[in-house]
Amino acid sequence: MNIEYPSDFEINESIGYICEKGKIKKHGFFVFLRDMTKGLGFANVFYGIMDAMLLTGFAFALLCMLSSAILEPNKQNSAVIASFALAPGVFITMFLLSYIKEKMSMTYSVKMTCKYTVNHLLAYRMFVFSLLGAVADAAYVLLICIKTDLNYITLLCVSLSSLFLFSLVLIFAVLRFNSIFAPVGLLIIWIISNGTLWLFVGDFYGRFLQQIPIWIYIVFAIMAAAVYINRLAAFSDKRRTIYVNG
Amino acid sequence: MLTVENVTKKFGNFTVLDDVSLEFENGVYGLIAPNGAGKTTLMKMLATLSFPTSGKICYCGDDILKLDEKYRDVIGYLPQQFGYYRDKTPKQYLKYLAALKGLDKKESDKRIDELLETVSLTDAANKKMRKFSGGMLQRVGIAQALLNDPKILMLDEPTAGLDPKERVRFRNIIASLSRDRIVLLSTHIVSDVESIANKIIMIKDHKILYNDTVKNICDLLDGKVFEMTLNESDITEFEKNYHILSQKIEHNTVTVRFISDNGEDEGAQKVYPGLEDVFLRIYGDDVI
Repeated sequence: MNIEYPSDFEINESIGYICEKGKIKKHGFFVFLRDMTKGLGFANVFYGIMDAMLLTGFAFALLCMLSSAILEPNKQNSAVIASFALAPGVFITMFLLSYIKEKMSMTYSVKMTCKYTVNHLLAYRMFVFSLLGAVADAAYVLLICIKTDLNYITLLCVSLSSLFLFSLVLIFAVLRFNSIFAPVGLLIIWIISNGTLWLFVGDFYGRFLQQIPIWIYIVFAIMAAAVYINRLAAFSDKRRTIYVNG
Repeated sequence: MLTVENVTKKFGNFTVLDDVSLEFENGVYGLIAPNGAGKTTLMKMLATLSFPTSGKICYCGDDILKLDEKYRDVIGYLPQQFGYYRDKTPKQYLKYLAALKGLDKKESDKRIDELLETVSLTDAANKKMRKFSGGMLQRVGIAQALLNDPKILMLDEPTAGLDPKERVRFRNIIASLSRDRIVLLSTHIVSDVESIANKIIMIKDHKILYNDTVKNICDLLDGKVFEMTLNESDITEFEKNYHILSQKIEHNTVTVRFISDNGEDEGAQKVYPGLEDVFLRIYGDDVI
């Protein structure tokens, strides 16, 4: 019997095709966002945390009203410090409420066995909270600029670089420590360090933030945002060991 | 097929499971041991909620941690403490979990209706779960575990808190589900698995002690379990000489079930051992 064997070219092509089909493709974070929006839907990503988002919005509105009442044109240093120190406020409040709610929830175990786990949800939400935080910062900085005559673009760059610096440290903390104390601890450190600088060396701190060239803020914000998004992708893939009894 | 290969799990210096190996094929597996023996730990590792310190768990030959999402697609899990949203109805909750499991919306709506019927919750489908009894919540839990028609169904202490009627209903549901999937049921209530499990897995001293059919396990005590009726006043003396498995008080007499090599000499009647007898014999003081 004469069996016709495929040529070396055909063999290699077939092997290449099989390997390509079997290979697990690594998708980027934006593909992850697209797939999750398509597969899960926006409403389900934010299921059960709309109250936390509304609460944050309410707190932000209060902050704006308070700032509007106390800011004066001659308080430029304080205005710059406020732009920097308060920049992660909306982001971290939404994230913390969402994170604690998921971690403390009795539904955690069930969700971790689903296609889209709690980590997928948190990574997606973190990204959206960052965007909402940036929008809130842009609005807050506008308010400050109206009250103090500071340059809007400069102050926006200060604010956004602060937001992405905080986000970056937060994602590393959350990746490293599997505990709600990690984000809470980071927030406490942020408040204490900025509060201390503001109270004791406010003038120096304000001038220092203003003296940094705008391009440094821009480059830093872009780099921090890029690494942050990269780490968000790692976070969405991370499977966690949770303590079990029995 | 699901295989547990030489799995050890430690929390710090404390070993919960030591070099455990198991194989699962379609059917019901009853995982029984007293509380704290490592049942939940094993279940959580099978559900990828916790990871082995050493060894691995494979599904159809592939490590479940590497399979990741593909493995999660074929499992259904009911944890010991089942979480739910008090202000949601079973239908809303199941729809949400169906979305998280990546099910198609149209298919999932149909599937949810079928499952609510299976667990006899059709009438309560649109009622908020805050008003549900423990048994009703547990049935919602079973329904959520079945949403993706899993090939591996893991139920951790599913009958805890259920009344006898609910437990019978639960057993019937499980029996009907086990034909074409692996059902792993962890419990310390022996009667929950005795009638429906194809195999019983017993854990003792961090290792698998038995992994066999109910009959084979019960045969371990064949010819050694007896029953006799005593006066209440004689019980204390009797306890000194025999390992009593259970006692039933009726009027002034006590019917004792005990283990002995020569019970007939005492005038006792030999009885066929049940799984509970083996359980009480093996775990002894652990279950008190």
